[in-house]
This record gives sequence, structure tokens and C-alpha cells, in this order.
Amino acid sequence: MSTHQYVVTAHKPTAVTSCVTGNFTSPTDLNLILAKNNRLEFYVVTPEGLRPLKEICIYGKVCVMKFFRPKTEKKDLLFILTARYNTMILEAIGEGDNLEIKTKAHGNVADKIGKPSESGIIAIIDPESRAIGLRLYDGLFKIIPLENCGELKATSIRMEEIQIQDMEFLHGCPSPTVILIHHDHNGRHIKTHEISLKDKEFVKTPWKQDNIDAEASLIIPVPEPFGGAIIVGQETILYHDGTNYVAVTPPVIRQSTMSCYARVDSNGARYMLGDMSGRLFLLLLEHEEKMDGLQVVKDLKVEVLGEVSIPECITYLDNGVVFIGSRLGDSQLIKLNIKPDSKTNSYISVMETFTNLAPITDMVVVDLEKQGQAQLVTCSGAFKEGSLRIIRNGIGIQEHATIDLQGIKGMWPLKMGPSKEFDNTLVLSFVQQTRVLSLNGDEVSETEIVGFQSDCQSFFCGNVNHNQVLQITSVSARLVSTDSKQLIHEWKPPTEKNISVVACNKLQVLCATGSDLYYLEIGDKIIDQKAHAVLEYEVACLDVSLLDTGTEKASIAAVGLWTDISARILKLPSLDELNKEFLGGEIIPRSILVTCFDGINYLLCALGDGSMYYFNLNKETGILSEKKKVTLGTQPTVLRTFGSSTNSTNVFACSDRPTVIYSSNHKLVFSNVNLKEVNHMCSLHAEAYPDSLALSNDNTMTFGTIDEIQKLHIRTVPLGESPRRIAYQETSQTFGVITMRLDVMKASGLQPARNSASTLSTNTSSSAATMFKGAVTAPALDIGQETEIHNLLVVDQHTFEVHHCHQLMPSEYALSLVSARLGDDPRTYYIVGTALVNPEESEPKAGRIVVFLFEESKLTQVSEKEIKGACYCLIEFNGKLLAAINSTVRLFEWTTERELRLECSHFNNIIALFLKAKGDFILVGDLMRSMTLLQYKTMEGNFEEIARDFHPNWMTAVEIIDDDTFLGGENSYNLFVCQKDR
Amino acid sequence: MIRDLHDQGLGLMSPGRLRRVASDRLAVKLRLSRQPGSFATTEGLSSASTSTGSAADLSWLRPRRRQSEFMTCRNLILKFYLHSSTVIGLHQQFATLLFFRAFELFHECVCCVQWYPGSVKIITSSGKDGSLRMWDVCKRVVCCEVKPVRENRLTQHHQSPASKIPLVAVASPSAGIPILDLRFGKSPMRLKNTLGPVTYVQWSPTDEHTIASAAESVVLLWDVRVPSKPLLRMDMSNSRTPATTSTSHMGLVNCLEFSLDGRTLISYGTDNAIRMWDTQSGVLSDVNCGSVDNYVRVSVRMALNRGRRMFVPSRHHIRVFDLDTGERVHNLKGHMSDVYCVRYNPHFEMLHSGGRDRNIINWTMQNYKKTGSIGLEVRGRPGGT
Repeated sequence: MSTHQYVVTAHKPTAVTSCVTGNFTSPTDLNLILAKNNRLEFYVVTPEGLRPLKEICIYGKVCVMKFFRPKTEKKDLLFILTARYNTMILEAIGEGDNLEIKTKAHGNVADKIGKPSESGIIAIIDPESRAIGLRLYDGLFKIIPLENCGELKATSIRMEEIQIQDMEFLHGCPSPTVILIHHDHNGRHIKTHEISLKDKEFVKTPWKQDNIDAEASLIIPVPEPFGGAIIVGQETILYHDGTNYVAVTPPVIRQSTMSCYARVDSNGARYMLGDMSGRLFLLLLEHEEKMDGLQVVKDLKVEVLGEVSIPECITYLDNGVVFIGSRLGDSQLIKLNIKPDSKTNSYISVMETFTNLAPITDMVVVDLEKQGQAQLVTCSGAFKEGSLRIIRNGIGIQEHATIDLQGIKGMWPLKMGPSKEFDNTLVLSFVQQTRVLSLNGDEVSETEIVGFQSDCQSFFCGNVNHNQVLQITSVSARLVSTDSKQLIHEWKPPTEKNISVVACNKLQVLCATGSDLYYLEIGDKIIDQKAHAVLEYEVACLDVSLLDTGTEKASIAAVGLWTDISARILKLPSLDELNKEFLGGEIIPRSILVTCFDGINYLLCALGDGSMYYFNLNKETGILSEKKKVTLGTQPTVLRTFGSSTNSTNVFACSDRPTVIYSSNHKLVFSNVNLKEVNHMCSLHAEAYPDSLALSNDNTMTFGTIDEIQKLHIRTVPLGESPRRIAYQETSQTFGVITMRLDVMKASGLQPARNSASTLSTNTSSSAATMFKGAVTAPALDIGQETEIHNLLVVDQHTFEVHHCHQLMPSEYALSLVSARLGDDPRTYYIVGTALVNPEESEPKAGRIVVFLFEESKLTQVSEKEIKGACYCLIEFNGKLLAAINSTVRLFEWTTERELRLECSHFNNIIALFLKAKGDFILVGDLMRSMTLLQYKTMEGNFEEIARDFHPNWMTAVEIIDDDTFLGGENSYNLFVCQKDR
Repeated sequence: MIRDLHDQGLGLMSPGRLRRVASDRLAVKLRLSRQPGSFATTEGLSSASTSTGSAADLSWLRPRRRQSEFMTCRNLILKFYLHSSTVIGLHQQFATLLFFRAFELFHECVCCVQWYPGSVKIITSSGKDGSLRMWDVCKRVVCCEVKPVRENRLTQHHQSPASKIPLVAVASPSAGIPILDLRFGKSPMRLKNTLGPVTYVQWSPTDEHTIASAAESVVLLWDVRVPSKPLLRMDMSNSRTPATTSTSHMGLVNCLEFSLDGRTLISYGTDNAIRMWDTQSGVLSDVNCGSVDNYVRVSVRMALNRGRRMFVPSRHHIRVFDLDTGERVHNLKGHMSDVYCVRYNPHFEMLHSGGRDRNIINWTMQNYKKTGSIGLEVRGRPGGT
């Protein structure tokens, strides 16, 4: 087997894991740098907003990113530590387009031994840039001196403190001094260590404080003149400078845990804090001046500023503008106002949001409009940032106006009268008829151009040089003045034959009558016949498009012929044949186009069966190379160029599956359009419809604008609670979504913590705990404690409105969802797999499989099956239901009594988490034993294990690529492919 | 577990932490692997010798994501191979690929084997004939043989996993611990004043200088740079000034193990006690594991997983303890006689054990019922953990 798989990223990472501000690209630029997994994005902060400068990719996952400025430097340097312990110092060199990011120093600081810390990697930089400190392994502190920037080498220092929550360098110390929070069985304590850079040792402990807040987790070092540090805990905020301390216990901070902070003032008087529930606080150090001129912190004030996305990192930019980097929701650029909003009491106004898809917990691919344009619906975000995202590839057309008109054979926009910029007239051609529409603002009315012949079909209409309009019918070519609308000149073919095919640009006309080809040029009030040639066969299609935008005259023309099915390149004006290319087959070419994408010339030739050949074209010699074929549709295709907003050339292929052809990275890309059928199109730049397209099919004509090309289109449906699983049900035109919301125990009982999709639904139902004998009694909760409530939401596929919400039992976790048709039952059911979670058990011992029917916008429970474990995955398998329950894979039949009956099981897993099926084959993904391939033996009615991967991979997803190839995702962020061994 | 999996999906829990948590939680699911070939016996092999052929020690290694294992019995060293066979159509099984049939050539009785850290080709072994040998696994020959002590017995040896220099510490009935440098086959130093015949030596997994030794009932912690006197003497009464007669256990200490972070030293003695010591201060922690039957007079081997679980051989059982609380969470029954050695394999989350009943048993979390499988071939190497 020589097939290889490769992976292409369709969308860059969007979750912000780290952000910093500083003067990176120049001493005066204020830069914002975002780390998104393995990408770094560099922005410059301008009064208009953030302007992207550069994006770079590194080979590694950014863990810590920090700015520092050595005394000798005028701008900041960027320090990065990756998850595999690679360190680097980056520097920006050059400006504008020449901006380059250079690695100033790098090195790996990994140890062969050592236990990686549970509380994660900590990297800190001395404020005076003397050293970098790292805590990677338990009990070891690493020091990288910054004096000489060669290879970054770390020296380890043993630390007494093992479990360290957070660490920072203190400001204003003669030698680098760290402050840390560590905890032992007595509680949490803070301690400082002075480091001797010469001896690479902790030399003394200047001060310490035992038994601080039991959940203290964040240290904020305070710069001069105050010095010292702020320690943020669950309940208290403490300022300590070694001699004095101030502690406050504001009740507002108690609800959640602070996760990040940003310093507002350089003197360290104000800080912003973000907590895990997405609230933003301002922390103010009130100070007084002592008699000896010493500034001393007197009090701490905490104020709630408002609600933002759940922050992962915060950075203060300038003038009250703050960037909130989020991993669980959309990142935001916010502005802090002086006065609170009267309604919401919030000091925050959101300036810009940055769409973030992460974390995607589940997704479905659906084709809602049945146009072959699949969409991805993902369960994105978590907690209050939970949302459904509809991701569409390809190109969408927004319809602005439609007119019912049958049988359009051609459309052209015209600029009549004084109009120079906007098209104000649209010519429509029908069989035996040509009609003219005038576009006056929004209004479309029928009008007449005197010089036009309106009782026959037009082959071409268009503005040409010298304020003239050209109309070509089967009889003649007519030149009409744009001002007087009177006929100026008419050219008729010398023979009596009718014109069959034409092609035109502003100056040149090619007309074919059978196999006779005439080359005409348009002058002031005259059409000159410049050349005539007789081709071997009748002409099927023609093109004289301009290849270079600067020129007026094309030097070559392309012709497609009947009978021998060939494409020929002719030289203009002589009409000498430069080259011919036989296309092969028996389908005649229907449309030919010479065009230029990204500086490369192409010849596109569409055939009558919807396929298209394309070649690279040498415009001097006419030589065609790199012949390729694509299938665009099943009907004859018409190719038209149109300009998009970015001024690049694009080609619209009109057929039963309309396609936009454009170039990306010097490759042609064929992108579907969300329309059913397009027979003809033209670009239209009218006053009411700027940068639009006019499109027609058999019955209607549409004016619309086209989406920006080359982008995934993402639509967000906020839920306000964590979505976990999603399934699509075609029969009811709905999505089933499993969500989790947090309820808080209050004096009156359980109350939702906030309004979300499940609480706002009008139709609700719930599973009562008493109905089920295996039910675990809900644990008694203290007031203020939170508990997870799982729901099944049924959501409309178009409006994404919640039709129904079913709430599951307390302490019942919904883990899997499938929409399936079972057995001979014609109805489609939503089936939910759950687990009853008892926190004391290592593994759930009970669960349910519940079958729901959604009919007439009501959800009813049809059946339920008690199972002995957690149902991690459910799939439909040949009309039966396949479930992964703890370590087993079980197959259930749907009986005529509408109940699930166990048919057979397979046992050879630790925890079976994922299932995929294809035919009789089942792929099982295990928690820690990679993948297993099972075959269902219909005759025996059991499973046979036919293949297994023996590597100890901890799986996060599995998929069947084909009968022999299987894709797996494991939890160290790798994808791997297994092949069946023969 | 469900919560942890969700948290991992949201990026709130690191994969490493999930592995540790899952390993701890699922340790109670460990059971005798019912897969064919998942347990091996030495009965047929040892018939060549006159001995009983009990499995005295195990050492496992993972070369190129597969894994093999060494086991000793009376006078043989056996290499087992936990492999995926495409030919036989069986599951992960032990297959004897090669064994060292040494007879007179080798030790009279092999006590201890260890894979050379970082190499897939070399193992070290020690035995009752008083010699420490280095073997080339491919050629099955002795590359080096040292007799570090004058007496004709070695109880146990251990090579430092943290040190860049191949240093091996040897336990023997003579007082004093020779530290051998395998590059020269010489003993550059000797830890003195061990307070009696040494039964067990163990290097710290994180600190290249720290080594623990057990002599009779006294556990000592050494810094190899100071061979003349031990750094700490573990005292079970936890007094500040240990008396010269104070001991760590009431009986013979026959097993030592460091926790993965090197912060805790665990000792196990024939007084049926498991004690945990802080390696910084030498203080005995108050974790009480209760009474664990241990009457074997030879050194045994306990195992730790990457999380908080400890696997201790006790007669013909293997007891599973929680390191934090000392609570016994599970008991593995399967051996028919005394268990001598337990090794945890964190890559497969499996436990291997060997004992006097000549069996090596594989303990797995896998729920297994039926056979018949062929392997999958992996194309392209995943980046690993």
C-alpha cells in the first residue's frame, strides 16, 4: 500500500492562550502579541484599532510568553517557552514589509529526570532582566542568566517547597528575589528567596508569611515605589511588602476564582483582575505618604467593572482599552468607560470581538440546503461562552432582489447616458426578443433603447470605446450612441448566414457564422472588418478577453470547434492559428475563456456535460500546458469573469452546480456557491446594487452580493451553557444538542446560575428521579454550591431556536446522543446515553439509554433501558443501536414493543470511549489502548475482533477513512493512521 | 472520570494529569489478565536445572514503543516480550524470545536484573556467586564481570537512573556499599558504616547524588559525595536526636522505593510495616498503611504508578495502597505462592509480578473475554507524549 495521508488546516487556531503588550517592533510602537497554540500574531495598536503586522508559526505549543527589556535595549524582547521545554528569545528587526522576527537566543531546558509539576509550567522574568526563572519539575527551580545571550542554558536549584501555586520576581531588589505561594498539609504560605546569580543558589529568605488564604493562587508583583506583592485568594486579597501588610475580604470576589491579571499603571497603583466566571475587577492600591517621604499602601479597593468573555489572559493596551484573551469563548477588545452604563451597571463597552471556535467538543456535518455544500455545526465554547457555530466553506450569495422572469438567455449591464461609474441599464436577451431594464435607484422598470433591435435574441451587449454601445444579434452588429441612444453604424456578415457565436471586449469583436470567423475592430462611429478566416469546422465558442489589465487590445483569441472537439489559439489581428489542442471525447466545448489569475495565464474550456478542462497558456506562442480536468456540474457550463471587492479576477461557472473559480497560492480553487442553479450571470455595479451580481435561472433573476472569497464563514448561535454533543435529525429538521448548565443551591432550592438556552426554552420536560430504580439520590448541597444539570435541547435547523428542552435527573450526566432509525420502525428517534455519577465511585455503575421522539414540536420519551455503566458513545449500526458502556461494546435491537433488547457484547477494553461503524465493521477507541476493529457476524450474531493497535495511545477521537485505514487522535495532540495488517 | 474527560476536552486538564488520575482511579480495576499468553511460567525451562525456578526479579523496558521484560529465576535470565503477534493471532502475550542458559557460566542464583538506563541492549545482573555482570542482550554474552566484594554473595544492585555516569550500587552481606563505575568496572568509592549487612540499595530517581540503603532494620540516606557517613538515619520514633540504637523498622527491611519526585522514601520490612520518610528531613510521615504481611527473608520489590498508587507484594497477594492516605484500595489475588517482585508499566497501565510459584503474571485493567486478533500496523510515528 503506497497511499499516504496528509493533514491540512482549514482554519487557523483561534483560542488565545497568552497575550502581552510592549514595544516590540520599534521603541515607539505599542504592540499586542497573541499566542494561539503554535501561532504568534503580532499587532500594532493604533487609534483605529488593532492592525495586524505579522503572523508566525513555531514548531511547538506556546506555554509561556513574556516581554522583557534589558537595560541596553530600547525595545522589548519576547521570551517564549514551549510545552516541550524549548525556550527562545525573539527580536523584531526591520520595519513595514521588511519586518522580520529573529531568534536571538534559544535552548532546550528539559531534564531527563524529574516529575513535571501538577500545577503546570511557571516561567518568570526578573523585572531588571537579570535572569529568567522556570519551575518545570517539582522541587526544582531553574535559572537562566540573561547576561550573555548565546544558547539559553538553565541551572537547577533545589527548592524545599514542593507544591508551588504561583511564583514571581519582586521589584526593586538588589539581587533577583522570587516570591512564591506553596502549600503543605497545614495550608498555603508565601515565602521569598533571594538568588545569587554567581553561585546559582538561594542565599536567604528575606521574609515570609505562613497560613494565608487557603485558596491563594495568584501573585501580582508591585513595582516601585511600593514594592512587595499582592496575593489574590478565594476570599482575601493581601498586600505584603515584607514589613507591612494590608488584607481585605471583599464579598464580590468570593463567587469565583481569579485566574489572570493585568497591570494598568506603570507605578502599580491599579490592576485588573479576571475571574473564571468572566467578571472583570479593578483593584486599586490606596497609598499615603509617610513623614519620611516613603509611599506606603494603606488600603486595597476592589470594584466590579462588568462582564467579559471568560478570560485566559488580560492585557491593558492604552487609553482604557483592554484586550481580553479567551480560550473558552470569543476574545474581546474592550473599552473601559468612566461612568457605568445605566442599565447594566457595567463600565465596559465591547469594541471588537474575535471569533473563537475552541474548544470544539463535538460536531456534525450537514447539508441543510441540499446543494452539495456541506456545513459544519460545532459545539464550541464552554460555560457561559457555550455556543453552536455554523461553519460554511465555499461562497455564499446574499440575495437582495429577485424578479420573476422566464427564459433568460443572456444578461449584460450597460452604462447609458451620462453615467460613468454606475451601471444603470440591464439588457436581457430572450428567444426572439431583447428587453432593456432601467435601474433607477431601487426601482427596476422596463425601457427601450431606440437603436437596439428588440425583436431578436442578442448575443452580446456592452459598452465599448468612444461612448458607444454594441449590440450583436444573429443578423448584425449594431453600434449605438450612449447619449442619443440612436443607431450609428451596423455591420452585417458578407454572407447571408446568421451570426452564431460572438466574443467581445471594448475594442475587438469576433463573430462566427458557421465556420467563418470575422475579426472586427470598433472605431469612433464605425465597425471595421479587419480579418476573415475559414476554420476547419463550425465554431462552438469564442473568447477575446484581455489578459493584461493595462492593454486595450488582446493579442490572441481562443476558439472551440465542433466535430473535432478542439480548442485553438488564434493570433490577432491575422487570425492565424498558433496552437490547437484536442480535448478528446464526444462532448463539444460550450464555453471558452482566456484569463489571468495571480499573473499566470489560463485557458478554461467548459464542455456540454459540465466538465471543464484548464491549461496554462503562453500568450506569446499560444502553447497550452498542464492539462487538467474538473467536473463542475452535469449541465452545459457558461464561464464568466467578474471582479470581486479585492480586485482579483474570479470566474463564475454557471451550471446546475454553480462554482466560483479563483486562484490561491498559484493554484486554481473551485468553490461551490449556495445557489441551486444559475444559467447566466453578469456582474453589476449599480447605484442601489454596488459590486453585485445579476444571476438568472429558468424562472427568476436575482441581484445579489457575493461573500468575501477564501474564507470560512462562521455564524454563532450563543447558548450560554456548555454544549457537549450534537446530532442532526433530517426528518424533523432539527438538531439535538446535549448541554450542561450550572445550577446554584439557594435557600429556595436549586436555581440556574444564569439565563441560558435551556432555561429560556418555552417547552420543557424533565426526567423525574423516582421513575428509575437505579437512580442515585442527589447529593445534599450546601447553599452556594454548584451542580451540573444536563439537558437535551431540540433546536430548529434554520432559526436555531430551541423547540424543546428536556432536563435529565440530578447527578445524571448525558454523555452521548444519536439520531437513529431503528429496525423496521419508520420514525427517527433521538437517543441519549447517560451515566448516574456518584463522586465516590471510581467508575459509574449505572446509567440509562433513553429513546425520545420529536414530533409536532414536542419531545416525548418512548423508551428507556437501564444499563450497568456510563454510555460514552452511541451510534446507529444497521438499524440497531451500538453503545459503548464502560469497558464493553454492546449491540441493542429495537423490538416491536418499542424496547431495546441486548443482542451481543464485546469485552476487551479499559473504557470504550468512541465508536464508528462502516458496513459490518466497528472501530472502537479506548481510553488508553488505542483502537480496535471489530466485525459483526450477522449469522452468529456476535462480534469478532479482527484487528487491534497495540500501542498505548490515549484516544480522543477515532474515524474510519476506508476499509483498511483508520484515523485516531490521541491526547498528546497527535493524529495517527493505522492500517489493517494483511 | 467523566468529568476529567470533559475537562480534558475543554483544555482545563492536561493530558498528563488525566493519565495520572485515570491510572489511580482505574487501579482498582486491575485483574488477572485473561488473555491467552498473558502469563508465563518457568516450569518447563527450569527443569533443566535442579532449582525451583522461582521468579526473583523483573525489569521491564520499552524499546521503540514495544516492550520487553527481563526476569530471573534460579540460574537463568529470561527475556520476555510483551508483543503483538500477527502470526499466532494472540493477544499481548509473553513469548520467550531468548534466555540466558548459563549453568556454571552464570551465577549460582540470580537475585537482581536491571536494564541499563537508556539502552536497549545491555542489562546488568547480580547473583549469589558474588559477581555483577553486564550482558549484551543481542549476542547473549557477558561483556563485563566484576566481583565487588570479597564474600561470595550479592543481594541486590541498582544503577542510578539520574546520573550521567553509569554508577551501580551493590548490596551484599558485608558492611559497606561498593559503588561501581561501569565504564571502568572499578569501584571508585565505598559507602562505609552501613551498620550491618546491606539488604537493599536504591538510587533517587531525581537526584544523582542521593542513595538509600537498608541494613538489617536501619534505613540510611547517603550523599555519594560523602561516603564516610550517611546523610540521614531514618528513625521510627521520629526523635530529633536519634540514638545510635534507633532503628527504622522492627524487623528486616527488604524493600526500598523512592516516590517519583524523589521526595519520599518508602521502606517495607518484615515487621509488616510500610513506612514513608521525607528525604529532606528524614521525618517519618504519619501515613499508616496498617499491617502488611511480609515474612520473606529475601529482598522484594514494590512498585508505584505515576499517580498515587503503591503496589506491595504481601505473601501471595499484591496489595494496592493509596500513597496519600495509606488506605488499601485493592487486593490482587492470583499467585499461588509468595510474590517477590512487582513492576508497574505506566505505558500500558499494566502490572507485572513474579514469584515463587514460577509464574509471571500480567495484571491489566482490560475487560477481556474472547480471542482472535491480528495486529494493526502503525504508519508514521506519532510524536509521543
